[in-house]
Amino acid sequence: MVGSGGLSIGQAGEFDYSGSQAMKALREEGIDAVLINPNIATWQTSHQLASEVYFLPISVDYVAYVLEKERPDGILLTFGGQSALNVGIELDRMGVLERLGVQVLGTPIRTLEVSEDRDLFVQALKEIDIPVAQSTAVSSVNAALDAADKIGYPVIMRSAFTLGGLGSGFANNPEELRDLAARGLALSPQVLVERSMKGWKEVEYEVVRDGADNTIICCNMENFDPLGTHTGDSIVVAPSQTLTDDEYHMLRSAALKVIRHLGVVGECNIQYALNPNSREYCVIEVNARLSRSSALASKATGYPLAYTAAKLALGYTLPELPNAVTKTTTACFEPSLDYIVTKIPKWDLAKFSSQVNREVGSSMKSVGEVMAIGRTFEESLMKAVRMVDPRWVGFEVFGKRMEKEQLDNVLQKPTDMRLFAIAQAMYLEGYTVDRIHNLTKIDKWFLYKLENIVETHRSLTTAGSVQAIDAELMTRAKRMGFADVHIASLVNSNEVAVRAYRKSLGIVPFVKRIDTLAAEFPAYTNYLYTTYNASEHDVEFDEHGTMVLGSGVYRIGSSVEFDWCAVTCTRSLRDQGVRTIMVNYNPETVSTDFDEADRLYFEELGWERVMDIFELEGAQGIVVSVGGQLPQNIALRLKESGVKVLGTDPENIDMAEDRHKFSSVLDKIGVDQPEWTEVTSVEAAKAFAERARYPVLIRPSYVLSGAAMNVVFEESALEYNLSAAASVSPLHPVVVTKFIEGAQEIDVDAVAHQGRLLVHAVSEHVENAGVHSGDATLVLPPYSLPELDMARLKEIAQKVAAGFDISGPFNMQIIRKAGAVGEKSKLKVIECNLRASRSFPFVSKVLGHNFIETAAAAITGVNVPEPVDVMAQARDYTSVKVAQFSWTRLGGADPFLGVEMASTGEVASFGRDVHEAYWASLLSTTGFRVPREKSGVLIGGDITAPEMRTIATTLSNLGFRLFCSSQVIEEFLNDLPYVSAKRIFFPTKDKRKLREVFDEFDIQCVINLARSRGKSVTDEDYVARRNAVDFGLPLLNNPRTAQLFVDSLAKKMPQGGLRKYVEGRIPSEVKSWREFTGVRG
Amino acid sequence: MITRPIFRISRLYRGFATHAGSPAPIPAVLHLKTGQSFTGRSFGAHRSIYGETVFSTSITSYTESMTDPSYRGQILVFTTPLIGNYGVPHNIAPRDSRDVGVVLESSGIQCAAVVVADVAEKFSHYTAIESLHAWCSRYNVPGVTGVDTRAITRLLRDQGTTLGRLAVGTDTTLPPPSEGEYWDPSKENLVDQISTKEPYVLNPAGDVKIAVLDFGAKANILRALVRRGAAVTVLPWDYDFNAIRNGFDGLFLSNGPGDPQQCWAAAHKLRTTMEEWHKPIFGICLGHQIIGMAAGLDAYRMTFGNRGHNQPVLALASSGSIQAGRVYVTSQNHQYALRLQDPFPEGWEPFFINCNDSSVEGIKSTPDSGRHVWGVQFHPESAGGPLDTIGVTHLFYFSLIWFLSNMCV
Repeated sequence: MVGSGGLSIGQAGEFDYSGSQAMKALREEGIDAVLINPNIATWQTSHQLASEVYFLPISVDYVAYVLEKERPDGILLTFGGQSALNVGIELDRMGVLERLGVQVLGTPIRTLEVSEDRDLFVQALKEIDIPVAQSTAVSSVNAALDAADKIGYPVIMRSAFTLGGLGSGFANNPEELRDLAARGLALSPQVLVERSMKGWKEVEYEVVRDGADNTIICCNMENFDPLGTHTGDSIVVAPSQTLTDDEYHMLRSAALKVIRHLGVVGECNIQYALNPNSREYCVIEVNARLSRSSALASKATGYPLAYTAAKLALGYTLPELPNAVTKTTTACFEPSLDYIVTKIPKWDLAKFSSQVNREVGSSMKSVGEVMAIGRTFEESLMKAVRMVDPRWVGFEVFGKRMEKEQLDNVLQKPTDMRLFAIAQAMYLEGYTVDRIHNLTKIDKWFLYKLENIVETHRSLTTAGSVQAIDAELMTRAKRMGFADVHIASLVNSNEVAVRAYRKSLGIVPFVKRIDTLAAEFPAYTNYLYTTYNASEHDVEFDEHGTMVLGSGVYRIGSSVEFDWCAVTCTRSLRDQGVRTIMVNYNPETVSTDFDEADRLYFEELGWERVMDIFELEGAQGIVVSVGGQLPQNIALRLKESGVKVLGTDPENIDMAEDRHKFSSVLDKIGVDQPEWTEVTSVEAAKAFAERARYPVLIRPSYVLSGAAMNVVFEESALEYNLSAAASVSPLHPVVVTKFIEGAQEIDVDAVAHQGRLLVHAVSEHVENAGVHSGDATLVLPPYSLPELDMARLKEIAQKVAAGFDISGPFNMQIIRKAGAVGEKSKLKVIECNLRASRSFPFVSKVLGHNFIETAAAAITGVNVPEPVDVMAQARDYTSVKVAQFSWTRLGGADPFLGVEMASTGEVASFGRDVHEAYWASLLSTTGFRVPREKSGVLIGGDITAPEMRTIATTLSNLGFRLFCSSQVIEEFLNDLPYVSAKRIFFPTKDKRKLREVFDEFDIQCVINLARSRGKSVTDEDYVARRNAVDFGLPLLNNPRTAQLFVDSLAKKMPQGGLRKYVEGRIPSEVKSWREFTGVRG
Repeated sequence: MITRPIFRISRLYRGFATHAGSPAPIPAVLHLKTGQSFTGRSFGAHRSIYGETVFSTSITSYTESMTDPSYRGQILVFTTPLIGNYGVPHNIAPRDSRDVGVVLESSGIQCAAVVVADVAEKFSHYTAIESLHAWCSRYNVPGVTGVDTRAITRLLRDQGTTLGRLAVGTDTTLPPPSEGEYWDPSKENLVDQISTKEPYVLNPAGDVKIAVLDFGAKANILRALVRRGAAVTVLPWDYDFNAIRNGFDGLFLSNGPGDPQQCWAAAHKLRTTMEEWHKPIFGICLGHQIIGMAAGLDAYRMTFGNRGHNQPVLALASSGSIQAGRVYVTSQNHQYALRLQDPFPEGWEPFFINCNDSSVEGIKSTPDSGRHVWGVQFHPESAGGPLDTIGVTHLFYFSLIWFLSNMCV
């Protein structure tokens, strides 16, 4: 079973869901699964599922090594996204699968090839007369005109090798195309001419086929955003809403025909463009594997697609499989939905520098997505908006009011905020539906529904006060998904008052089941959602379970690791005999599989809905500490509302999050912390910075992933950043902390019960303090900490556990500054969260001790284990966790590491020592290409970093050729003994030329040590870093990791680390989890 | 050529397409004979009506379902909550070798009333000329929106299809009807009410001559035959086909509403036909039940019937493109079914069964019986619904061609 690796934009948590379901299916059949996936935070890499887990790169070489070592009978390639698929095709081409006698299960390789190769695909669809989107590559203006004549106007022209859509555009006639092609061909040697289907509807079908040719559609979906926006960046509804029966079945029949012709066995996805003014359609693409859309379809229907696909791959037929929801009916049917789901993507573009282009288009930029279930479109949309960002109360105007021209622009060319641009157009500018439709091409049906929300908003505003809202209006508002807090904001009231008044009118939500067949047959499913468009509950509330709040949407800083925590906690509670109720709304997760908890509410995680569910269920209590920061934010309010919050007291959680309270507790228990102050004015900040001396770290309270955090080195920067940081959250003043330069950072993950430390883990950061812990490289066990400090760190953990009377998980970041000879080093706590952290799955899996299982016991107080010191145990292995970045997807962003988190995922590998582990884990990051021997390395950036000398010298000794772009660097490098570097012509504005330069000098790796973000887009260091990621080359931008990388190279090269896979040679890091840790994998 | 003026008319209509505004907030209550009531808002015609309450789980096709004569006399509950999204098209088509006069399944709304969770007050589709509300008003059909259709479905699933009354406007203040007041459409011969009164011919120039006994035929059945080039003679349901059978190459028994027991007259005549006339015979839905009754099988009333587009049926025998052992997803709309019996009457075999509830979904004459008769409970011609089993109509058609060519030899 080949996994998908670290989470990145376009390939995220959905593959943990699909892989986990597939392995569950294998397990049911008594099949031993060997899993390769370096993503240590996933559920699929837990010991419950696979018999052997390899935390190794999803690359042809490493998968081949594992195959050679394990000699499995079969291989599953369609559950690990594009990465797994590509590896599979290549392994087949190399003859490895055949030689080792490994059978490809499910969809055959040939089908995968046809679906991936555009020419073969177009040919295959032509054979069965199915129209397909065609593009013609041309390299002259005349050829472009000829191609357009054949295709028919209007056409879209795209430059083949330019990024960011440079030189692309629409042409309605030959004159326009002539101009466009001339410009495009000046930038790129080749342009693609395609039929323009701008404004067409985009529709997807999820298809399941077995080896006996039974074929069904699980679900279809319609994009709110018409063609032109990547489906991953589109708002999507399921099932389709604006298609007639004729259109629905025309596309359905075509889907069956295509999938049968291609020969898929398992699950696949087909995307269409449908002309909104005729029956004309064409196929855009087929994904012959599980995909993000199939995860969404699974959650939208309750039909376990990945599980079913795995069973079909093993040779079952659809009629042989039962419907997993009803148990009594067959899996060979098509779900009927009696609700509507709306998916909205989560972009986190604001987290990156302002250089990032906010437009969304043909390349995906979102980092996660939410799914909301309702019985009206308005209800599901309003829920989804709140799920994407809890600060948004619903479909309203957010952010600065745009000028009309800019507004029209955003409506025409979607950005991550287009939905709210529509809100502005409707609420403030009086645009009609027709006008908005003409600009956006969004089907009017959707816009009419949005207009309904606007009208209800106005009726509420007119009512003026809570008491003036009559039962009819209140019912209408709630049925359209208005939150109590939203209504409150419109009538100058508060959430609690609206809730009380609404209840007095008898207006409450009802709980409905998702049962795959619209209530036609009885189904005792536990897959639930709430709606106001109902008059009775589907379920009885007699279980009084314990609620576990999930993590919500995946975003920068909160991702699959919290899903692992939530799933593990739920399973532990079930093992204790506790009935569990999971609440979460992320369709890419395992926690939203309906068989993980006794009841699953696919619902919002805000106070209103959590209280609704708590009250209806008569729940025993709520666990808020395993879902990341989101559930933590409402912990205190829940307690104040009379909810039994399990684990650490929310008052203490608040103490840890309130800087003043936190600081005074640390002082009281005698734990050191950096100098800090809280200021409400810039002057006060300046005064502190002068006293404590620059640099200082500024940040607002209540943050996750370092939003608006910054290290400033001088007064002008302080002034500038403080105005930016202060505007983030005006309710919270800004904290200014002394930033200690050159200090080491340490992560402590721990569990305590009633203030007594039960277990703790100490991971060492490779980068110095100043790099966000989510972006940092973590080594476990630590490789440079003296024993005395290890003991002192444990002592700090014990003091903190006692000081906050912790029952459950907690995490601290501590900085360490080595003292002078004979002096103790300084250990200062910079951050403490009384909840599970991002590194819990990492430390649990590396140390072979499940911290969340211990935490679950501590939270409930049942079977609490005796304290154990897992750090005291000597280990003959090391594991390194490395962040996975998605820079290539974020055109323009400076690949720079700072206090703001920028990574989208993580991977971790094991090794005999830190070098081997770092080598394997760095290679495990998606897209990492090992440089060839004797190739060129471009060196640049901060030459004051002491590591620069050793890095250059080592690379030179290893036979790499060094290049640089500036005279200063050239002189610096050539001054080093035995090092010679060549300065090269370095065009900063012409990407094509730069590419040629890189090719000419065979530059295959870039080391550019960045001290701060590039000041301009022509800054040489910025250009070097940016193009390293754009050209798909390894980039090392931090002195400490760059040093570790060259040291690892020095160790691995003599062992053949740069050589490709050859039969019979297996590198030493190719060992399973069990082989490393000695614990059953 | 003929399509051109029609196209213009529909364009003209589209120009006038209005969204009719919000339906006036007039209350409507669905009363069930079993005592439950569901309150919502009225749309369409503001008048009260009796009927038999049934649910359909199809996601699309409210326009096709509502014009399907099989829904005659029924209060139709859609489990899909959002109804009316794509409006209603101009329902006039040419009568030629491609079409049979209507775009939908018949010229008007057939069901007695519709029950939906959230009706679209405004619609959007290039073929639409009016809203569901306006269309229902024109055909004097009431509807109710804003009710918990899932709750109603759960009730009907457990207690079976139930008689009901949709009370609208001032009628909502009256107490629910007493048991005796409910009107039971199954006691009536609905087929007789909607079957054509006089024979008529479609596509007279067609090369094969097919007679259709009209029990309430969906337009798409006739369309499917006409589009394959058949000359179709549509006969009243109780017409004595035996008197004219020699002029035809095949006989088709259509779908229709209500209890098949009301149609014994047709079944008796069919028995004679099957004994004496060995050309292909094909039946869909009610037509299939009548074939079964003529063959000696029992028809019975199911608890809540099968209505939807997602019904899986397993082929038990291979025939034409249909392969034994394969499962097909089908469109269905029926309350009655043939009882599975062992052994089957001589010369007959089961063709399909329902994978979920094991009800009989198709029968066929055995290869050695000398007959060429098929009946299917589902709607292979779809509209609405999936086209997976369109092959069985091909089967009928190809066997006609085969028959003709053999006769010529």
